[in-house]
Amino acid sequence: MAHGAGTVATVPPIDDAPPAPPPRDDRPRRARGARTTWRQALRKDWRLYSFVVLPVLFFVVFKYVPMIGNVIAFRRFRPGGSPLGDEWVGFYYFDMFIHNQQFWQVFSNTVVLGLLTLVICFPLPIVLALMLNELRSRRFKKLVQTISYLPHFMSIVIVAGLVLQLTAVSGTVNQVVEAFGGDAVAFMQQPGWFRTIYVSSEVWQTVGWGTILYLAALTTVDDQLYEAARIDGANRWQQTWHITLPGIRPTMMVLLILNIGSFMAVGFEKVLLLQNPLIYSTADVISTYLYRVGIQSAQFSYGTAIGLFEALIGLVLVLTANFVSRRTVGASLW
Amino acid sequence: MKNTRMRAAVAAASLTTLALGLAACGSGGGGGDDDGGAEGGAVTIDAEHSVGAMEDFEAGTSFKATEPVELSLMYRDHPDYEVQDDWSIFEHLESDRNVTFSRTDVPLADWDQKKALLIGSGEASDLMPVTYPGQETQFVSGGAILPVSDYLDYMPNFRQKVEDWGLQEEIDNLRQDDGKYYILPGLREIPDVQYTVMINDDMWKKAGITEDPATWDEFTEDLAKVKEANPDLDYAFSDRWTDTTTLGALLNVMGPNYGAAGGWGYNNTWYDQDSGKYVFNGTSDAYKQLLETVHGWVDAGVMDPEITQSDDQARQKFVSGKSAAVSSNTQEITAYRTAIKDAGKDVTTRLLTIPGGPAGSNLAASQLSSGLMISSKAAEQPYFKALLQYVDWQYYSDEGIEFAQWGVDGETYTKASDGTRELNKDISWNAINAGAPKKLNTDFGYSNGVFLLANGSTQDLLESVMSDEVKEWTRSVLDAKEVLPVAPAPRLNEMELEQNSLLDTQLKDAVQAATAGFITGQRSFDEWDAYVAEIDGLGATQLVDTVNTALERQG
Amino acid sequence: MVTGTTTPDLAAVRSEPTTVKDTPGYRAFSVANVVVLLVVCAVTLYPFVNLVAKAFSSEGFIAAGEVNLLPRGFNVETFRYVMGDSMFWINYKNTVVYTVVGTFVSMALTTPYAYALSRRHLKGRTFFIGIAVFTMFFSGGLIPNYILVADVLGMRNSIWAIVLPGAISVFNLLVMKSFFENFPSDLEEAAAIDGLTTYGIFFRIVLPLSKAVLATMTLFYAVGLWNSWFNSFLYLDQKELFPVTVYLRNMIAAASPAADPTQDAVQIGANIQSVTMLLTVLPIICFYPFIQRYFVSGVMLGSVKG
Repeated sequence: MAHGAGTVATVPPIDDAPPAPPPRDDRPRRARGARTTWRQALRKDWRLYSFVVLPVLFFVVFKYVPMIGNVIAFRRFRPGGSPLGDEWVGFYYFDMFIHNQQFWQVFSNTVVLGLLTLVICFPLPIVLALMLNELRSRRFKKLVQTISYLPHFMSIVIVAGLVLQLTAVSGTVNQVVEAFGGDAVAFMQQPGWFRTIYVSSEVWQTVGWGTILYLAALTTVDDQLYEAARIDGANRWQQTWHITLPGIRPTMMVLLILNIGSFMAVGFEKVLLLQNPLIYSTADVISTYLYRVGIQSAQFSYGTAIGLFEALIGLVLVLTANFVSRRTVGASLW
Repeated sequence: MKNTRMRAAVAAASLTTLALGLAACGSGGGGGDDDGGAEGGAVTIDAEHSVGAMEDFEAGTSFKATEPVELSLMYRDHPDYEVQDDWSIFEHLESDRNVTFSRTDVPLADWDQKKALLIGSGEASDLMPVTYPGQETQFVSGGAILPVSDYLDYMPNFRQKVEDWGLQEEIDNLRQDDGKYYILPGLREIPDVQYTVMINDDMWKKAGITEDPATWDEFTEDLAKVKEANPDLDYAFSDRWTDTTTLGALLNVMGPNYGAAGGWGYNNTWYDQDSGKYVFNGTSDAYKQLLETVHGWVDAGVMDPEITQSDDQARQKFVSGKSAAVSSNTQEITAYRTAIKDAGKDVTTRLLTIPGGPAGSNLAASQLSSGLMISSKAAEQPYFKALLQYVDWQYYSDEGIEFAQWGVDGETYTKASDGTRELNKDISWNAINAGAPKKLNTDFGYSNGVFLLANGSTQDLLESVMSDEVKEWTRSVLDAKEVLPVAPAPRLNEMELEQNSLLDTQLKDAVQAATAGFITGQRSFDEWDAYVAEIDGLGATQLVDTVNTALERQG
Repeated sequence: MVTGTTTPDLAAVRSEPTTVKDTPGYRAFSVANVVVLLVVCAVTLYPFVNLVAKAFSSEGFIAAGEVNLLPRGFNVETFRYVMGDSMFWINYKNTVVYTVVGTFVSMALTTPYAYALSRRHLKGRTFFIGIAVFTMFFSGGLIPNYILVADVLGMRNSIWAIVLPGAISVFNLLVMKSFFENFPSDLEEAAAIDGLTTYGIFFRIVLPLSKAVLATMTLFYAVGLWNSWFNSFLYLDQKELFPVTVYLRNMIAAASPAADPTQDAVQIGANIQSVTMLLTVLPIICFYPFIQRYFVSGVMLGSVKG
């Protein structure tokens, strides 16, 4: 039985094909331990480097040059004054949020919501993709796919309106509850329910779209592996566990790492539209907090300081996740 | 996918903090130098910057620039009346006043943000209208906008209206830490009254109620009667406009009658006229009484406890007859009535005159409205004086305001000898001449928020476009209510403002959450003392002290 | 030359020839699978049907909450109003142009970069990956970006301001790189032995066999550009250059009564949201089936001939 650990092993070619090539991983071109100099690398791989030039230029110009603007986390910025701030204030703004009680509450809300979303929304597209993969009817599969993508395109305003309507005291959910003999619950007025409602709406909106990548990944799994497995007497479940899942594992790991890195970016607009003062204790996240604070006085530097803090967290998380993934599973971002 | 979202979220957050952030007020280095007393420091404009200016420009003079003048204008483009280069208003301004514009058009949806972005990046236009008092504060310390109070010598119409209508106190409240103010607000002869409760008159009549309640307590009784007389109702009152503020419209309207500021008007501090100091608003006895009244309605089952419902839901309940009262303003009544008609129902609706409360029959309404800012770079332009004269004429002279609202006598309207104006039959505006082929704003550019402040400023002009019903209602409210005196605005310096801002937000959030809790009954009034202690713990005393200190500084 | 069997399209690939009899357990599962998916469809579809109904209903019925699956007070006025405005069509055309050009630019930058990064022997590979990953977390903020693009680069009111600043999505880049890394190396080896250069391998072997991921990334970029309004809001001043998303956002903003007290109250009504959504979403839904046929299996079965 073929075991793909991030690679796709091919069935040995037949007849007049050239002999099987050496294993793929880390093929050194020269003796192990000797380092290539840049000159040698450029000479040999100049074509590859030609692929690299324009994108790097892009990053430098459009991403790294503006990054200088982050200096306003350490300088006081005034709209209309210098874009790089007017005077040095050191860690003043960092102190401001570190010692602010409301900030930490908001921070923990962000973390919780982000984690919940990650844990729940990450596996579901995989499950759905696998389920779709089992369908026999081609037309039904296409139909389900297209329908499942629709929520992704719905504007957040509409989704929020929909959620509010469904969870209203007279809304559909409560109608069902009452039909089963329960009492109507004012869902949007109780902090305890917000997380469930938010995550559910996230699931609804992203699951279908999330399957696209996995379905594309599924096409890269070699059919012959399934053949071989079937001949060996494996049933469908075993095939899924031992062929399909490992086959899409690289994609899964990449997506997992990327999602871990960005888990704190809880959607600003949706939370803003769904929140109200009664549920701030769970329904307030960093971005909505900044939105309200910004109404009072110049918090642009403050916001940037917080942004740097969040970015640092994200970066550390990705590096850690990548490291762990490389050690345990062998797949990593780099 | 998440990354685009993250970027968008970060961008949105930074965008909005930029847009809505009120930067430190006060100039970068200025102490409390009060130049020239109440009128602000006066700056003289030399001949170099007086290209195109009129020699004798006084209040009432009909302005025409002596030479053609082109001003840069940040134009807010409203999709209901998209800007056209060949609009009548532009033509007349050019031919009659020698004024043309180089515009930067910004769509309505992003107006505030884009304006803030342009100014923040150093690209302010000469004129930047549709700016609300308070929005200019964030740009002051960066030096991007003009301290207009220094140039009042050149704005006679403005000075006259401020004097005639007694607005000096309100204007003084716009002063920043350096004693100057940086915005030219829209001026109103009568305070702005727009919000109140709208009722389903049929159901009200069924309950035998013929008069508007004089106090909120009477309103409480009315609600009970209406619920009894109309058993099909879910609730007599089901309200809307709760977002970051609980029951924004309703509490805003009720508050002053109790001696507190609530809803949209909520401020952490309330000015006590007797002691001349600020006290904390959200924990005062007056505020408690306000909340107790509304909680009483929920408790009695006449008010919908789902106060956090969306505006659409509240509207649905009213239109479909499940509720008999909802908050509204003078524009929304048209929306409600259209919806009712579309739904095939025949129901009469009416606006209530705002009832009074324990602290009297009060109104906290402002006579200032959205106005304009001028770029500080305009002072370096050769046409600077002409610009000021134009602004003064356009926005503050009777002739200019009438022109901006109605257009040209003989072309778009006719003015009778007794002063009544009649719009040409083929032009419609709002409810006047509805159905006519052309629109006053869309086709001609008049009645345009960019050139017209405060819907007309003078009572005459304000009322000239009101429907009779709204006119009557506005008059009756103004008669019945006493406008509260203006509270002096504390001028915080940059550091104070920065520190207070965080306190302000967390206090406001806590109060709003508690307000909702007390009203819906989630929190019991037995807990009130615990609540006061909680708020104190969040920094209420510190906030009030900072504000009072600043007040004392102003002397 | 590399040969291959016909490439089955994604919708049909089940990776299981029907020659083997299914166990009863599997049959039961299949039925359950279909049922669950049907429920998923219904749940997903309901709001959309509701939306379509609202788009064709009259304001009053929507306000009264009486619109559910079918339109009430059938009304195409909003459609007529919107589609009768020439600016709407101009903006729509802009959206199409921006999307096509933008997708092309993005793919042209991302794909080669992803391929280069997937070559593990490339010196400096970690550095080049790091450059990209770092930008996922740290960005310059609004004003520096604005000054750079609008002033320094002078791209205000040009298509480049829409298409360039976000040209490479690091997410897409990394996913694509992962796909390329798992591309069967024997095919590339064989081609190299045949004398193809890197360019040759890339364009003639790898790309044609990576249709699935290329189609997916094209779709992602295209949808992102189609729905975007932020860069347009920042860098465009002239109405004729707006994409249709900005046009529609303005329409929604104008329909809200609090927009401006001096103006007409709600001219078009709250069904405007539904109408705008429909008009934006429909083209994508129609576009997707064309993409779907590229979701094919790219891996060749069987022999690699010499």
